[in-house]
Amino acid sequence: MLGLLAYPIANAFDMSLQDRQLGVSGKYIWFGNFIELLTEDRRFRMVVANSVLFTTLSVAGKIVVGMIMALILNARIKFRGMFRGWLLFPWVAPTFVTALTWRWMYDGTAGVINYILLSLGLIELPIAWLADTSTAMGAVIATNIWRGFPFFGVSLLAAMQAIPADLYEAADVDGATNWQKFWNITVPGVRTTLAITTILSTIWTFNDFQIVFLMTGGGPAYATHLFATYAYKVGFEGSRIGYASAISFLLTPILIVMIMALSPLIMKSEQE
Amino acid sequence: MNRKFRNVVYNTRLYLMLAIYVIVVSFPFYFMALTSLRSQKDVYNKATMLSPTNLILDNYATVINGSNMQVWLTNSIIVGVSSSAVALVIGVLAAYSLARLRFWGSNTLAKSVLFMYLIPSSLLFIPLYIIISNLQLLNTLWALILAYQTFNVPFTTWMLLGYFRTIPAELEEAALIDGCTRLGVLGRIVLPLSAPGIVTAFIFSFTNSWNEFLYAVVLAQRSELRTLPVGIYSFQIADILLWGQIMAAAIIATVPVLALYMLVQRFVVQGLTAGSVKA
Repeated sequence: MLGLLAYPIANAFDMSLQDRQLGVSGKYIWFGNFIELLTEDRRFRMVVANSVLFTTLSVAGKIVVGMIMALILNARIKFRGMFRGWLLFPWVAPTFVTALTWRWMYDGTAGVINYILLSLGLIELPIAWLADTSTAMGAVIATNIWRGFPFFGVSLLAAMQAIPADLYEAADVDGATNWQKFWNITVPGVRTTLAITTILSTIWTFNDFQIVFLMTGGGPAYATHLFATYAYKVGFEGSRIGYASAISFLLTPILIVMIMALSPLIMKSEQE
Repeated sequence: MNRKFRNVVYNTRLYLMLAIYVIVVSFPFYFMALTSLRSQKDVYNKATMLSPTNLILDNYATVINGSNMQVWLTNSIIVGVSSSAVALVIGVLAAYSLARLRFWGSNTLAKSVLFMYLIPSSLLFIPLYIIISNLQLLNTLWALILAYQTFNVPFTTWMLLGYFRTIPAELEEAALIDGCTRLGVLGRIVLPLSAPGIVTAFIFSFTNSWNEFLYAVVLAQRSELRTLPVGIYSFQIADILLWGQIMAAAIIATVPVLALYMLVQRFVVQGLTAGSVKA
């Protein structure tokens, strides 16, 4: 089983050292691809900046929206199970469906988001959300948050339900405010789960392909290109497969850091 | 009185926020359904944008009869079922040996299964493309079935590992003493006891394969080999975006996944934590 994944990764590294083109075998240029990427390729610099922005804001948004969802569902509400299942829908629906639906809703001329904002008088002119460099990234991030927050919500809810109720009762006796209870009981109680879900989501978000590819194709003017979409563009639309390998191989350091952070957390959660 | 009033305020606020969540989550699905039931002209009609009027089923008929939709649907089912079945067989054997057999490094290996699952397709798609083209499998459904093992095998293994560990080893030892073989134990005791886990693992793998996009784009480019996601996306390469048809096709692709999800809903929440977070 190790071979199943170790071999492709070794293969990726091997290829990133070549000047290979699609359909033609290349020759070794050693670290030429990496040097070009890091010193000459201005688009790659945009890709790195985009990926960091996309990942940070998406994951932060998912944490906040997911945490509020968990708090609502953890309160005494009716039909909790039903609502929990319902709010999980964005996470269950196929990502390509989400991406296409939101692309349609963001449409500059006939999109429903412009329609609603215009009718409410919040904007005066329709906005070409996905075609404007100043709004495209935000629009893509919003979609990504919509898709990913239920994972946080449901995981955090499970963790909240494991917090003993007498902790809250004791706090009530001591006259603690809701805010104090949240920071001193709830947050410590869900800390491990929150850390694990954050790391998992960071890995998935950093490596996202579908949402950006289907919504903007990386545009306008590279404003939303991420590692995966840029590697695809260079490798399969531009046929520089060796160079594309180098791009996606540069994902490994981040992945290794994330996995190293994750490992002790998993052990901790297994002990709990 | 004061306390009661505070409770009412609290509850109103709570249900108001819940309502916002429900609306934000449901609206895209509602709008998707609405668009799928509109003619190409009505799709752009602002006057009826949000109200369920002038609905027709034409898009569904066009999508099902007029395009390659049936082929894509068949491809998605073939790839989903076979890649999950293969992954399940490998996953059962791997998880069982990791759960029961003590060999050097078996604990570390069990941990690394999860990490293998986390290696993203954005890192693997180029080498897989080269490997699969070297195997002369490019533009076949085999390419996808093979490529999907990279996430389905670690996933099923990890998930089943959690299930197998909950089965008391004494049960199996008793069977071994009675003369059952290791594989006999697996078939007669372990598998029946972990049936819910196996069904859930299968459904998760199937859904993951059904939704997969990047490998499908790269490895099966010919129209008759596309799976649903890539096929539906190709509706929009034409000059005019046929949103009615795209949304109809998207609904057809979503319904099986949502149906499976409802079927195993109570395992999903468990699965989210069991499969990806903890054993």
